[in-house]
Amino acid sequence: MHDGILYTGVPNRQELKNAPGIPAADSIGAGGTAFIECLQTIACNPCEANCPTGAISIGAQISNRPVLDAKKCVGCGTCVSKCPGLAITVIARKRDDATTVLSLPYEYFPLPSAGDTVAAVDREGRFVCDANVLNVKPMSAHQSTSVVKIEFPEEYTFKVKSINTFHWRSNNG
Amino acid sequence: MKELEREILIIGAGPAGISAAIEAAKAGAKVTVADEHDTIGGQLYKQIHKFFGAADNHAGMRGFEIARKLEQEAKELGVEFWLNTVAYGIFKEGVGIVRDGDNFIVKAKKVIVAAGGIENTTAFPGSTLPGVMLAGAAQTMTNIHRVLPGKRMVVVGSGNVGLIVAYQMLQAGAEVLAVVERDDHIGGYGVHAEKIRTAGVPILTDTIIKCASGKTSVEGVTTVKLGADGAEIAGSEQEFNADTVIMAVGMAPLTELLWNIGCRFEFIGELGGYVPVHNEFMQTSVDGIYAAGDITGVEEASVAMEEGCIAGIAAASACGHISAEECSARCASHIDALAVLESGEYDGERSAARAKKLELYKASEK
Ligand SMILES: Cc1cc2nc3c(=O)[nH]c(=O)nc-3n(C[C@H](O)[C@H](O)[C@H](O)COP(=O)(O)OP(=O)(O)OC[C@H]3O[C@@H](n4cnc5c(N)ncnc54)[C@H](O)[C@@H]3O)c2cc1C
Ligand code: SF4
Ligand code: SF4
Repeated sequence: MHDGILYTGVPNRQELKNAPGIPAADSIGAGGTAFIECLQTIACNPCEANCPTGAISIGAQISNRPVLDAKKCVGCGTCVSKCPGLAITVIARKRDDATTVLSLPYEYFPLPSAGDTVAAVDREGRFVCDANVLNVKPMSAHQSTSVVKIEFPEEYTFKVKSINTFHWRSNNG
Repeated sequence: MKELEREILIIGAGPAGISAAIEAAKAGAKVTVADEHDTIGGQLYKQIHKFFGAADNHAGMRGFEIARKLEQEAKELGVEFWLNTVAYGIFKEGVGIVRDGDNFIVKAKKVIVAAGGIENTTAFPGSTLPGVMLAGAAQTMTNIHRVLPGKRMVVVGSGNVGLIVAYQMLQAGAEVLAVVERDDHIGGYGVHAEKIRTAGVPILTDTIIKCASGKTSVEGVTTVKLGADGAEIAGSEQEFNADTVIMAVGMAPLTELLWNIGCRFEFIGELGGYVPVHNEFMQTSVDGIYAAGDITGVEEASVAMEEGCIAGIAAASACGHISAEECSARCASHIDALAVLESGEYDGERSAARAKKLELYKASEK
């Protein structure tokens, strides 16, 4: 049985580990670092073109995969809303509270509001844990892609991929 | 019959046609673009997702926004647009046009055909039931007219179009029960697949629709898995309580106009079927007729824009507005961009396909 992004649409463990720009665990500071889940060589480069600090490089051969210089990344989230693949999130750690703060691109209605509790889901859309919504950047700010910032227990850091506010299906357990 | 004269006539106001118009106008040519739709932008007009590709070609913007930007630029350069206008044939006498119920011939010095592509279909028992539609129809209804065609959908085909349509239907509030794919792997980009998987949509590979059933419209869909030999595996059927089937099984270049004037063609499977051979300046084997965009092989908007730019520059040069040297100089960056765009794991065969078209053009010149 084949697994991995090409066969299932879900990256396997090895692919996630090799994702370009994956921040090393100890480099995920409180400010946050981009996590670029862009696994294939596709001709695309808005992430590189829009990063204000030059932290993402792809080069003239735009089918190269993006590479992140984590030292240059200030966690501003510009790339999160610019990537047409919705492949980038910004991950930050709050060590004192043992939580992770994830900024993710979101293009569904209804948008959650700060203070809401929402369902955090994995890469197959399955419920992982409840998450608190800290902040929601309006769609108008980013060509209709909202950036939603959520907080959840740190043990789920790389398991949580997104949230689901639009409907529930039977596969949610 | 009535005759009109124009310098450069472009058929199709998609990204290829408008890019050609912009570059030709910049070079000093008088340009007219005809499109059968009432809106400028071709495929871009119904795309509400952010586009992939080179940031230089506006990737990262949503499709319809790219269309508006190109339209504005062209209009500022004085390009004339004829909408609701069909080009029905290219003849020795000129291009046959029907516009506002009027029928006339346009005598143009150069013609650029940028007619785009047409969607493929597939057949299965029940595929003629209302509720079974093509991806373009689902997008037109949902994204332009804001009418959701159904509530519970099955999408056929996991190429980028199928994955994107599935995502757009979810955004519009429909439930997508599954995307089925005949191959053993997903056809489109992993990042598009991840978007819908994250929303809980299964992508079933090695699977086809066995039938759709219902009295007057789709009420259910049965899928079946295929074995390594391509035969249906008995007992692997799955039932879906769907009211809509969306087909996204590829596109083919819309080439009738070029056949009709006698352009040379070659069958290149990776590009969607029979495609016109052309030189590096997008000139077909018929003098004065250029082609650009999906009509030369179904690819993507970035490629269509680069090809359009080249065709526009070359046609303006052939009309005498810029020298051959200036033409080569202006085209160089676009030709380089094509080489870059047609690389990567999804595109390796496309640069070979382009080389083949150029080679065949040369051979036909001799
Ligand atoms: C769902 C979907 C998603 C896509 N996503 C992306 C993406 O993310 N990135 C990307 O780069 N590309 C994407 N594409 C591909 C891109 O849209 C096309 O490659 C591109 O639009 C091709 O441009 P074109 O100008 O050749 O043709 P088109 O855009 O198809 O335009 C052709 C125009 O010609 C007109 N026409 C045709 N025949 C006649 C005639 N006889 N008389 C008058 N007018 C005529 C048509 O009305 C049409 O307006 C996507 C396509 C689809 C369907
Ligand atoms: S989060 Fe900001 S600084 Fe970091 S890579 Fe993205 S755009 Fe650049
Ligand atoms: S913009 Fe997104 S999809 Fe495009 S290369 Fe960057 S990370 Fe990949």
